Amino acid sequence: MKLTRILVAAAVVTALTAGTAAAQSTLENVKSRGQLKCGVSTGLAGFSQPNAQGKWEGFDVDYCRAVAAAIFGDPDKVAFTPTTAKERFTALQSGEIDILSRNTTWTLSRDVQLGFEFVGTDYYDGQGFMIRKDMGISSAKQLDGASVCIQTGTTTELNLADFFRSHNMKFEPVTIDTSDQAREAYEAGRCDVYTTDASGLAAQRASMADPSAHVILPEIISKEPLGPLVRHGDNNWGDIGRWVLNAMITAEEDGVTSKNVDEMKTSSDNPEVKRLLGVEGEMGAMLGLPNEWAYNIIKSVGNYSEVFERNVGVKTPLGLERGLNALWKDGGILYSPPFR
Amino acid sequence: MVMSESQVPQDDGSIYYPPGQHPNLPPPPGTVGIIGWLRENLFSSPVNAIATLATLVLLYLAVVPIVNWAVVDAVVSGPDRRVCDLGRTATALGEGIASFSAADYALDPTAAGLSESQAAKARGDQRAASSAFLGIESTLGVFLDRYAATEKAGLVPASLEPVIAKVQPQQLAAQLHDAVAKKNVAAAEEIYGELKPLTDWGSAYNGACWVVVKSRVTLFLVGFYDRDQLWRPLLAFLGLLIAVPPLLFTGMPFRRRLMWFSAAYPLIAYYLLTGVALAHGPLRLVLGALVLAAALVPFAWPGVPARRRLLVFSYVAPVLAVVLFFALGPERVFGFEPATIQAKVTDAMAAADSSLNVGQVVSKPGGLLEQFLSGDLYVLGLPLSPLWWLILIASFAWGLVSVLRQAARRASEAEWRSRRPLVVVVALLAGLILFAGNQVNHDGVVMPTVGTDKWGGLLATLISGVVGISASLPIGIVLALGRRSRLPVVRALSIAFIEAVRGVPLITVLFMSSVMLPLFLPEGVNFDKFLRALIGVALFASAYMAEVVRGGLQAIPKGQYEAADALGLTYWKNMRLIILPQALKIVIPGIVNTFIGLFKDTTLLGIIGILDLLQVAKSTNSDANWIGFFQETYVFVGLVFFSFCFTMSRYSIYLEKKLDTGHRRR
Amino acid sequence: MAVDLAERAKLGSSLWTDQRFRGLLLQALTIGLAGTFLAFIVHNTAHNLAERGIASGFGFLDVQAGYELKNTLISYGPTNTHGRAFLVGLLNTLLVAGVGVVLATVIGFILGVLRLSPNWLLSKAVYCYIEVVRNIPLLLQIYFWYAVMISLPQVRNAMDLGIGAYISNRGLQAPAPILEPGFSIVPVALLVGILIAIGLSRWAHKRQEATGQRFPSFWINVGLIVLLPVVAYLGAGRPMSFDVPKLGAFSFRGGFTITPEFVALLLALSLYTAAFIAEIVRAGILSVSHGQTEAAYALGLKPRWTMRLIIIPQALRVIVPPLTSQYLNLTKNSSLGVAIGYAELVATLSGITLNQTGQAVECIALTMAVYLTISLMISFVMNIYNRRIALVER
Repeated sequence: MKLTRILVAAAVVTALTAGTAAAQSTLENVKSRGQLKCGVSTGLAGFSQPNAQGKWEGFDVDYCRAVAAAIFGDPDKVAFTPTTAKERFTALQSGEIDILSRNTTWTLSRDVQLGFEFVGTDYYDGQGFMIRKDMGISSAKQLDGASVCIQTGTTTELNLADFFRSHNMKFEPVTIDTSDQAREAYEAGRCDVYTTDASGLAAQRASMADPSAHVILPEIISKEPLGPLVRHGDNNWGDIGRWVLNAMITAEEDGVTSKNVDEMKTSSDNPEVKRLLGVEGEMGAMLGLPNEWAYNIIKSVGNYSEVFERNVGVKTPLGLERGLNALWKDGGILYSPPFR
Repeated sequence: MVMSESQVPQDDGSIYYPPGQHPNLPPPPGTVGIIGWLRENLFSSPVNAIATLATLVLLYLAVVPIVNWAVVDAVVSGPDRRVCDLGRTATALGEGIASFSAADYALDPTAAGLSESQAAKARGDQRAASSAFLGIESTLGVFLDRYAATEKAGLVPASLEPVIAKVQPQQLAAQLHDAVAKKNVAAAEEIYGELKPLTDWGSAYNGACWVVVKSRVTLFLVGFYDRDQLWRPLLAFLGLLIAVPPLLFTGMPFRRRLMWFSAAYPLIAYYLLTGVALAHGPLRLVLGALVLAAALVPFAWPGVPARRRLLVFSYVAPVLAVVLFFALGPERVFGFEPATIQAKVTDAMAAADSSLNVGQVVSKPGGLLEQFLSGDLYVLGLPLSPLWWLILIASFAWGLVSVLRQAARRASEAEWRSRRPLVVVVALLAGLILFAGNQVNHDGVVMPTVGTDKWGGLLATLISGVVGISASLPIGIVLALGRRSRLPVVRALSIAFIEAVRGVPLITVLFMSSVMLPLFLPEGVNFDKFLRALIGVALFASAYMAEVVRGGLQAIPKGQYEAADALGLTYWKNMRLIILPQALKIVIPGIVNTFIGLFKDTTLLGIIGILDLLQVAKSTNSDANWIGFFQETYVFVGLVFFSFCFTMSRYSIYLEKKLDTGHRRR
Repeated sequence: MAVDLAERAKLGSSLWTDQRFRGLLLQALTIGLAGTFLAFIVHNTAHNLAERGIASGFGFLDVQAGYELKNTLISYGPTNTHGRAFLVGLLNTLLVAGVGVVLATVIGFILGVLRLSPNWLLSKAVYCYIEVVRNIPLLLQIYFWYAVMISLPQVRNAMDLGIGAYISNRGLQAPAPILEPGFSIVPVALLVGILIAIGLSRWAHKRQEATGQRFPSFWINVGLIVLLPVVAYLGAGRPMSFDVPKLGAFSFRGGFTITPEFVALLLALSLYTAAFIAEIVRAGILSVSHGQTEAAYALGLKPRWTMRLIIIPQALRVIVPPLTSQYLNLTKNSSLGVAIGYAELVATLSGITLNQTGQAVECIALTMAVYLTISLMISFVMNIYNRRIALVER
């Protein structure tokens, strides 16, 4: 009887105090769990947004689905964890999520000090300004003394302060927690200027009662390379995140789309396409993934262009042009290292 | 009226009555009926009359715009925002026209004789007027574009068609374009006049756009819950409606019977909503140990009553215990990593005692038992599996029934007989919920698992509210007793906890429990985000509850404590039987008020990324398809909260009246 | 004693039945458990922080903040440190909480008394108002008041109050006093006035106790406190000028501003809390037995005096403890100001600073410590007041 009691106690103690057992890699964890845990935004038009059917959709969401497709061959094996700006980093640090795909700007301090690894840039953004047309302002440099509505929790506040300081101008910040309140304050005339990432400005303007009464100023005051990030230390997991993104870009470069991927797989003569789709080489095995990983991504989620156009492109309410996010050969700066 | 002799007609025609003989007269007309009521309650004094009138005016000013916005001018039909946008744009057009001032437009800031500040003002006014002059044209353009799009989709509201036919805005737009190009203010103002029916229509169509709520109502109610499984939250909600009243109303018919359901409801709701057996992970280990211990009783204690029945249970129990120990399915609804914990437990056992190795071998990942128990029964060629599970459930139920039977022995035999069917049903149900969940859901037929990441909207709000309420009361009672304990350490700890939690805002507590808890736990041990939020809410509410309960404890006269001590009751018996029943009764209104506060506080869950009702509204407001309709979503959320909280508040008043002892002021 | 020992020996279980020993054992166990638990958490946190390479410590407070805040009580710019931003937030929290407590008390008492009004319509209207406000989450009410604030006229059509002050949806812009040398005599005069007033009321009170004669000290005191500074101000040759706001390219420049964010948060907090206070006041007044009123009337006191001398002092005993809770709630609820851009503690320290530095543990712990301190201080003050008004049984 006594022995049993000691045994049970020992078991419980071992179960509660971890550390002895060797930590599993993130990929193994994800595989054994059967689900990818992906942190997204609680609501950002075009990037991550619950639709009326209760499904997450958007640009950032599709990246998570692509990772799930690469690992499981099934884009639906993702548990989305909505995160706010404040808790996103701790959620990733504490291991609650495997990957954070939440319009997060790649900065040095986040990469180094917070212990993260950005796997790449999936969207090149920049901070812009919107202002009422009847103010007669045509440049951000005329904004001395203006009051500016900002949504908190981003690099926005810092960029703004830097911009005004470097041009020796003053401003009155109205720093609000959520975008809907910030936008409402702007539309009511509480602020002269509304500032956020350029990707958000277009959608905000289009949904005004009278879009023609507002203009977006030409200046983009910051570089905002937005990308997914993972924890430092598990390089294989970072590689998977990086090459999922690269696979989507390469697929666009080589003209592989979700519609023609089956056909390309059998008939393409392009060696890179063959390697990408797992017909030749062992690219998947190197990453610890099935060899058809990229095929699965493209088949079920699509290439970069498809994802872009579906969520934020010109036919969506956001109506964004590719701009910087076009391929390098189309005048943008998207560039994937080769698949070999 | 027949005159009696005592009624003496007087000379002036009046009648003299002797004292005490006068028949009752009707009350003066001003003191009865509606007029009397009005006079007494509304116009009893000049001050009162003024107050009444002022209140009426205020009510009118407050209520009329709200009703206009929410009902009269509201848009309720249509699939998307286009119809609402038409109204909004037409209103914006009207506002632009109203703000345009021809006089300002004609200002000349460079005119002689203007002071510097006058010139500055004139410049500003002139600029505003000229930009309004251009703005009206572009707004009209936007309206026409939106109208064209709506017309193409066949969604033009019936009330707009005659207005368009009458105003012909396309032609007016062309004329306006000419007028603006020629800077002809007079011609433009004439066109503005002709546009009036359109802007009038707009301002009568500029109320709430309820379409936004309508199109996302499921998201508001259940969040991401699987759309083909909506019957489950619905059933759980209906169950709540049945489970709660017996707890609240003492005079309810069938109250005792329904209480059984109320007691079982948390299990049922959990099972319904998650689709996972309650007992999994560590809980299942504990339960397994308990079952095993229970099975040992008839051997250890030969004189135990109903030993024969218990013996049968003992034969089944080992099987059950093994199942409990090792049937750890891959589900992780509340996020415990059962596989990890199981591995650690078995490792430890293997290291310490080789006799338990059998279990480890059988149960190691991918091993025989795991496959067998994780539901892949057909793979193993055991088509009898449902029968197998039936036997397990039945044996558990049997064990439970025998225990209850034993407990009921003190009651009369007849009473036991009358309740037996109910007890058996409850026991079977408990067995089903505790152990059978995985199997049903692995077959994927009845109830697939729905993780807490899918819970949202009103469902999440209600769950966190109900769980917080049910958890905070017992914790609060313990804390309150601790605060009044004679043991200084216990008292100090209770006070420290209560004051610390009451002294900080809920959002920091939530942030702590959500974001920091994972940092407090050993690596790799993690549990569900929703559960963490629930812990935060429950701890916060229990500190408040503790203070409410303490108020009740202090109100009990000292004599009650002393009398109980004199009877030789132990501390816990004293509390349970004498003090708490009285104390809790006094503070029920306070408890309900704490519940209301807790329920409202669930709106803060959004801060840690849980999509509760308010957060769904916010995500709707930032949806590119619905940007700009924030009033509607917030008002809807406000109404939902009001209806729940007001109901609770009325219940609190009802209780207050019921418990009123009658020494109140009138 | 001997019997007791013998009894104990007979029972054979020496220590276990001793209540004191059991108490000690239980406490030792509790301490042990709590200590272990605490050590467990601290160990894990330190281990996890180190493992994940998260920097810890409060060094970040000395780092340049880099973000801008406006309408601060102390001067602040983006080149200041996070520590200063924290101070800005703290002062803003204290400001809105302090003003809110006063406002909520006043409104709450008025509503509570109106709720008991004999006028049926008024009483019911107040009842409806209280129920609506009490039963809707505060966050929504903050949004509502902010929406009301920003629907005021735009800055170009600002309402001119005539004294150089303007109201628009940028808030209230009013002339800011500029103190010139020699102004220091005014606060001195104010202080003197207050001191004299206190002395006078003491004397008047003593005189009334001794002789029963009343001295109309109230109006004299008001006169003293108001007039002395005014006289001093005029005597010193008006050593103050005003910085009047002027309409610039975007909005008013100069003067001082009360922002709509502050007003919206203040209104939402005070009206929400006032609804609760109204119920507390009502319950307090109702708790005074009707016999007290009747007795007062029988003594010939007028209703107003009955209320002031008989009802309110007794009701206060019931009112003050829950009132303290409401003050605490209001202070803590001010943390919701971040939702509409009021730069209070949670917006600065646990908001932007936390986002920029990523030091969640420190930021949240510091925020909690500050709120805890404020709450304990409020509790302390209210407890002193409560003890003063408590029923002294003789």
